[in-house]
Amino acid sequence: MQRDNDQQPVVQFESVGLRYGVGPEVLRDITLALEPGSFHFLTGASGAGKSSLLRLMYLAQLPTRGRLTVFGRNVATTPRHELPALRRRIGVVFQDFRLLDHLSAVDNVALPLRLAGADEDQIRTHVVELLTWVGLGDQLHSKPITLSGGQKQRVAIARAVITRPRLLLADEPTGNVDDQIAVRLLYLFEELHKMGTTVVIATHNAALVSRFGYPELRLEGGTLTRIERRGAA
Amino acid sequence: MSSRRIMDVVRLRRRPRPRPWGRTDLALTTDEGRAYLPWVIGIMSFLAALALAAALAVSSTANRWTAGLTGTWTVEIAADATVDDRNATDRLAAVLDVLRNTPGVVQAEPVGREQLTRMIEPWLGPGASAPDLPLPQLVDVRLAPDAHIDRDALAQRLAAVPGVTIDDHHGWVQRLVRLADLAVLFALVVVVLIGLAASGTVVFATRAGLAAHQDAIEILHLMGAHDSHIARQFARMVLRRGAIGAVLGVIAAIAMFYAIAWAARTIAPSILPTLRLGALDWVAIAALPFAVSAVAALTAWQTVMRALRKML
Ligand SMILES: Nc1ncnc2c1ncn2[C@@H]1O[C@H](COP(=O)(O)OP(=O)(O)O)[C@@H](O)[C@H]1O
Ligand SMILES: [Mg+2]
Repeated sequence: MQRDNDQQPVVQFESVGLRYGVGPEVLRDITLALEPGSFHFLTGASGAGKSSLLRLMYLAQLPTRGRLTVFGRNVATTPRHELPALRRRIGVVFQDFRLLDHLSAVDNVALPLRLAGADEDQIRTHVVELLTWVGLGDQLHSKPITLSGGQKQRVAIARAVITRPRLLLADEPTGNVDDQIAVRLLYLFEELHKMGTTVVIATHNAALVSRFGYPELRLEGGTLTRIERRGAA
Repeated sequence: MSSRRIMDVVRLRRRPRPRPWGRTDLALTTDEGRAYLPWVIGIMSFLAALALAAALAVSSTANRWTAGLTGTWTVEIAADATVDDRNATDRLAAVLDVLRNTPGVVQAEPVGREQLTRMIEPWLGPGASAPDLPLPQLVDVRLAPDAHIDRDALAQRLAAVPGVTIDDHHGWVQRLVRLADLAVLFALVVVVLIGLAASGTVVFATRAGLAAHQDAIEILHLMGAHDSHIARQFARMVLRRGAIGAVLGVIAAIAMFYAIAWAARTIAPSILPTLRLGALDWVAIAALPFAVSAVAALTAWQTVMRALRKML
């Protein structure tokens, strides 16, 4: 396996295109390099292809053309059995949360740790602590069905960050929470970022984008424009 | 608590050891459709075990008969209405004399009329004991284990007495052996067919489970779960449920086998042979639930692995 070079981009798109079936290209000529430890907002109207772009990054989808490299590995040529190792270094907050309905909040968040083979007693402390921090200390054993949209979202975020992934991808992670909690969750992503995690957050929330001041990747008509910002709050 | 602090806490200590029998992530046990799996496996195990037990019993009974018949001949002196009793005694004496002076013959004993009557009674009823019923005279001949007696030469020497035939049981033994082999072959075919049907059932049940849990499976997959992690959960569930069914099915088959054996003994003890199984037969039957469970679990495993390979 190729060594994880600290200098090489975590994700690299080279003239990547994506179409679903015989439909039009949803993404066209995407060329982009995410440097290690970078933080980006991904913006664009509904249907612009934000989720699609993230799906490519978290290895749920192959590009229909172009070259996509994740952690230095060309996803199209990496043997299938080596993909789980790459996926374990990626934390994903899905737009629709995608929690496992039969598992409690604690067990949902513990899932990535268990897949990684962590110690059960460590799992317990860390998961409880993180859930408490996102304000769900009194919902530890609730099943997703009894949680509100905002609470589910926080469980989903906790699940994505619990393993301290090298790459964190969040698809509209603050869509269901009020601004105060949204800012708090953004701080969580920021902490990960400060420890070296590469972060991409798709969002509609222009206020949030300008408040944090990280560079913005804007999707429009299937193509990507990079907007630099200065003076992060 | 600061966010910095929480991220320090979230530190993963890796343990590379796999946890093959660890907890399940998928709610497979609450699947509605799954309740029938132990039943299907149970019924199929029942039928397979019954077929196997019957074939093995036929085989071992045939072997017992064969062993009893090898090394023994029967000389028959046909009943003849024209000869009187004294003549009959002379004929028997002459035959015994020839037989007892043949090298290789260990023993030659006439079968008494009483015994003969008992042997044919199941077929003829009480009439068999009628004193005027013409019965042949039989002589049981036991040969030395390594004797090579020329059957034709012996027949020629016995030809002085009219109506004498020698039965070396050869054709009978061969037919018996062939029947036993056929029964075992037939049972094996039945067991294989039942196995295929059971596998098919497991495949469909597993596919239904995959469809029902598609969402959760995709999440696990995207979190970096290996295919084997997911397949193991299905295989384990099928193993557990299959094993319950298989064990109960085979136990039921054994009970049924003994019920039939008992009925045969009680209803017609002299016509129907005793159904009995040897130690090795028991091993084969006892192995059946293990084989069935293993095949079911492997089938589930394969089905899941194949389905998952279609995912990126
Ligand atoms: N699985 C899919 N099959 C077909 N079309 C899809 C699929 N997912 C998304 N699309 C289409 O791709 C376009 C971009 O969708 P998406 O990536 O979800 O945008 P966004 O997340 O920015 O709202 C939309 O036109 C959508 O209809
Ligand atoms: Mg979207």
